[in-house]
Amino acid sequence: MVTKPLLFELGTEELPPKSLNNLRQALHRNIESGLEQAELSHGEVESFATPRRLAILVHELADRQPDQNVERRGPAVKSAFNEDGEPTKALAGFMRGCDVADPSQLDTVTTNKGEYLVYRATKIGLDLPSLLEKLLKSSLSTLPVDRKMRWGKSRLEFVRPVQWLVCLYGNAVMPVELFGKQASNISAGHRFMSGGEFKIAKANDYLELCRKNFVLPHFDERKSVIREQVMDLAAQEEAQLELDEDLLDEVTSLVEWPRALAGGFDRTFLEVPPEVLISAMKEHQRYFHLVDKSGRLVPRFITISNIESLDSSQVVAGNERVIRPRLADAAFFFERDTRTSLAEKFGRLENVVFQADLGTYAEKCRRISELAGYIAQQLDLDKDAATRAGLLCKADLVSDMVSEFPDLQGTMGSYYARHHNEADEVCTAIGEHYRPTQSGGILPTSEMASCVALADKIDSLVGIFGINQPPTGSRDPFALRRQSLGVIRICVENQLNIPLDGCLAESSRLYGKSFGTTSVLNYIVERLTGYYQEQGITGDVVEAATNSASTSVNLLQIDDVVRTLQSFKNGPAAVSIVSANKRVANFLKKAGPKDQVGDFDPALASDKAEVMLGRALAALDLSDSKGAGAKLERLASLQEPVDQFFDEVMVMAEDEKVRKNRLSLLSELRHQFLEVADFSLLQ
Amino acid sequence: MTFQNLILSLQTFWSEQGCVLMQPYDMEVGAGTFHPATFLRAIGPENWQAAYVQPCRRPADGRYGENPNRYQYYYQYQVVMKPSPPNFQALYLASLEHLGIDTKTHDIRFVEDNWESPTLGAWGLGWEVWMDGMEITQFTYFQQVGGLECYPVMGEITYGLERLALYIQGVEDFKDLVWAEKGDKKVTYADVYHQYEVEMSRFNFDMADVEGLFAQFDFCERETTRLLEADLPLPAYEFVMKASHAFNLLDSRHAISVTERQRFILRVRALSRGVAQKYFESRQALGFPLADEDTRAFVEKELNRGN
Repeated sequence: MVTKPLLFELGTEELPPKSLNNLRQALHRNIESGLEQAELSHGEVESFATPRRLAILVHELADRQPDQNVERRGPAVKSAFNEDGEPTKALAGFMRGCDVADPSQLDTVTTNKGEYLVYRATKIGLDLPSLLEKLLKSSLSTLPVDRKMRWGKSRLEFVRPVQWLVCLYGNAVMPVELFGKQASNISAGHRFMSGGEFKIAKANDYLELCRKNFVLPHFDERKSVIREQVMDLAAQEEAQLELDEDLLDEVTSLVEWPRALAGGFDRTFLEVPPEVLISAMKEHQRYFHLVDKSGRLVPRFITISNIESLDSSQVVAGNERVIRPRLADAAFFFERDTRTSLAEKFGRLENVVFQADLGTYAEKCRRISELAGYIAQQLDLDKDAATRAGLLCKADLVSDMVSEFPDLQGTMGSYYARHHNEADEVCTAIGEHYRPTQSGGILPTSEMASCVALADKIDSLVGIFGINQPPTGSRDPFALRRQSLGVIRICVENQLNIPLDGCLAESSRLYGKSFGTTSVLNYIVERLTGYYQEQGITGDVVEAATNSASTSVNLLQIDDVVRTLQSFKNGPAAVSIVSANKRVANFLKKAGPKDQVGDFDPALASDKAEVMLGRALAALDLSDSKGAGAKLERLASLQEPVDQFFDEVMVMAEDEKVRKNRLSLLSELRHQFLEVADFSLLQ
Repeated sequence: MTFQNLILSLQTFWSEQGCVLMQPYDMEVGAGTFHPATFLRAIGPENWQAAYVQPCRRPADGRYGENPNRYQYYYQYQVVMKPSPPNFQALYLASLEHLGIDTKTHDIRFVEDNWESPTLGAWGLGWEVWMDGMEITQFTYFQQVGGLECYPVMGEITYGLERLALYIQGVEDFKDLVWAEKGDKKVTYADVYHQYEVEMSRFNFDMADVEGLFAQFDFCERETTRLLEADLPLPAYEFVMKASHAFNLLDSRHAISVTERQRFILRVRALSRGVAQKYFESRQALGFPLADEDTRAFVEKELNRGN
């Protein structure tokens, strides 16, 4: 079998940077699985992506499919021919299916059921050229593309217009036609630095030829080149770098031949909040910003150009010219926004709709304000500060700055609040109330901010569930999944000791629409499984903790139980509790309908073990125990009387009163277990 | 190169590519795309190549002439080619070189920027073209216009003339651009437009009569509907442009709340769609005279299948 490398390169107009690397990976997977399906053996597969090309290099690819021995069993010999020796209907049908004209082309095979006709043949494997076009076509048509486009007069669609096609097996151009273009061995180099088109004699020459033509086709290699250049420049600038990986990926997708350059802007712009400057540099210009040793922004930036310029000072000057008006605009917005206070801006929220059935943002903020106050009160925090922060937390939505830089919502609010002399803790709460803004994102840094953040999220959850639009697998326009996880993380990680069900009920009351809160509560509690799974805690532990008989849902306390169970799970205490719980549950299951349990009556207890257990249970007080660990220890201390009880006492006694009393004792015991967790769910 | 020579130079270049050199449309528009030579000609199977200067008004972008490159009134140079030629990007780059821009010195890039105009019921995919980080051009392949699928696809190039001129003249601020010169005598952009920019910013932000504009918007909406009923898509379209401008002014006056805003956009879009459909029908009635035989046949066949 002959093997050679295969090169496939699709030249396009500039591909979307945010999906470029995904496109490469998907094409890589598709082609690999296509080769597998076609049974074409191959070595390593490499894939490449630049703004103007997607390419694949398959090493040691077989030039054809292996031949295959085919064997198909036909009818039994005795029912294959009629009296005249002519083929019966069964045989004729079989021969048609095998494309055989004469029965003599069939063999016979003897089995324990008799003699059968059999068709044997060798199916010759197809060669690569006849398989390739279809394989590539289906690999390309199943790429994950948000929006495909058409161009010119063509009816064909792709991510961006296709400009050229290279398909080489060894040194032979493959007969492939895609997007109306015939494959060749002519590629194109860097738009401006190369001489334009170049010829690829052999597939294996690809990388070297690209480099000669000022293209670094390998995505990760290009990325690390950029990383090094940026770090070198930052060092030259004697500045620190906060390297943003997403930005690094994006700029890697925007260049074929990266050259990092440093530029600067007027120091006076540093009066504008740094978040604004960073956003202007990053979102609009894809610049890396620089900070000094103490983390303060310095008036310098790094940009990644796509050219080794004949005069890079002109490229720098150009970039500096761009950022200036951007920053001037930011300064203009800041100045205009600070002319009115947040309290004055609040009035304009009366016209901004939160959700058609749930009213405006002004209404939402009034609810957040009350709810934040309620939560603050429960936590012994300054209620007035919480209501103030809640009321103003979204007033920056109508500022010019936030309409230009939407990702600065909250952040700007806190600046504007400070500008108009709101209390420090109010400013912080306004600034942090959207947190966490992404999975794993940072949390509010103060208890006050946590109150407002929690109030905002609960208000959205209760409202949207209230109008019966809970998130589905594919639709979650209000990001309720993320908000639920936010509620969990704030309560647990910021240690807010507050019953969640109470907050939900208060939120519902504030809507004044008698929204139920059970489904919201369940939705949030269901999210716990995923939350703990990420921390290596299994679902049974979470379920055991959330299925306790505790009347209120306090996420911080649930967390305590979860963590205690997790560490106790395999210890001796847990084992004894689990086994005792199981025995109790089994007995209770056996109890007939007549044996309705009531309160345990010590006066009816006769056996010593029964009395002992009754006393132990009466002495057991879980309410004063601090923490799940202590409760578990106390439950574990019941092991001895429980064991003794089961050893010595006949639960299902003849006397109905005695029996009922004993079952009642067990039932009480079971309730005590359930107070902490449902141990029967532990695995 | 003066500002006016920049325009002349682009006119020459695109004229040589076979474009019809049109003049600016004599009404207020927010972008060159609104010119009927783009919006309407993107509809249907007919071929079309045109280039023109279009003054654009974006009332909310006024900065009283104080921002170096953001004005409420500025110029676009618009090129449309339908069907988009395979070397469309290369033609554009050639036009930059024609202007004397050295592509081996400057960092020129096509950065994804997909275009969507909710008021025109239109979208396309393409890029903003960056030169040393500054957006100097929008480059778009129209996919849908007025709610109708574009076939063949029109390619659109929109140069920001002032920004391009900043580079060519090496100045920092629109105000300092040389518009025309002879010997030592120079006329700058500020000489021509500064007072206008200051007064119009004042007008857009503070003075435009809100009540009158609301009434004007309603009137234009009624007129569009009435004219469409009379099978007059071209006059109807002029009222869409007027409605759109009234909306933009109301927006810069902060007279439209965020909720209302969406409703106004939908109202303009309904009008644009009406015009697009009517225009398509009017061209069909004429037998799509500027279409290639094969595309016309294809589109007619699709239409018959739809019926």
